[in-house]
Amino acid sequence: MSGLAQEGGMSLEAGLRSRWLVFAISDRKVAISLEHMVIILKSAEIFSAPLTGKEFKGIFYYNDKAVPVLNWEFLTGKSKAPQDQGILILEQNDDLLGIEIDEAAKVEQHPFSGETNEPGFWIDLEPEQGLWALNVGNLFQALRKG
Amino acid sequence: MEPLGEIERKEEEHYLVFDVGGYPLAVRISQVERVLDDDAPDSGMDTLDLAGILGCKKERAGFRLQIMITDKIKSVQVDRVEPIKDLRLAVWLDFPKIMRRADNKMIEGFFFDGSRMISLINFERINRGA
Repeated sequence: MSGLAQEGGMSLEAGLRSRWLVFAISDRKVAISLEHMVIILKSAEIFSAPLTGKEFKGIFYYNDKAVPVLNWEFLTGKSKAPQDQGILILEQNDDLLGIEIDEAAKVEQHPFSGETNEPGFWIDLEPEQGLWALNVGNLFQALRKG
Repeated sequence: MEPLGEIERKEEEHYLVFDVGGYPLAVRISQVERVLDDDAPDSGMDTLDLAGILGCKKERAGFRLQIMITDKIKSVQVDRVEPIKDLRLAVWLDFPKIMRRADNKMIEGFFFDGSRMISLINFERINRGA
């Protein structure tokens, strides 16, 4: 992408990449990059289905597709999901994934784009704030491997 | 181009819908030989523990399906059976690729009828050790 609009010394592309949806789950403050976001649904009926694996809580209907919902326990080791949740749909390489998020989630801007080659699901985004970023690329990769 | 699952579905559009362990499931009528009460005399044929394969408990004695799997009829215990259905009004949803594992190849996808997500089981894929 060339000829990007410049705003305050930061390119538009960089500005978009550094926007994060921030919310709390259990005792952790979590940030998810908006780069892979498709939509946030206020609610969706989640159905359980057989043999969907411990990584997934179930599936829901969206736009003529069955979309799997991530089981937060797979990421955090704790069964507690966000309260008063909506569902954030992420997309990578034609795969969709629903993530339950707190309705009180806010969009924040942080300088880090989220792109890293480090392994693991979590990136220490703002250590002094206890803010952890979800590594969406590594998450999709791990889910595809099963 | 239509997805393969949608094409296959149009070719055979009648299904038997049944429950195992609380999961609503469907099978193509062409794979079903007979439906029997669970207390009907046992003919001694091989049984397939579908509840065990799906990792759930059979809720109560209900029915037995006699299913043709690779030229051999097997008996499958299920909790509940619904009348034979034409699911053309339900939306066909392919199984999400990201959830595909070796042990769930028997589930081809889902029929969503607005209130339930009915998993379509292909018993031939169970027989291949899926």
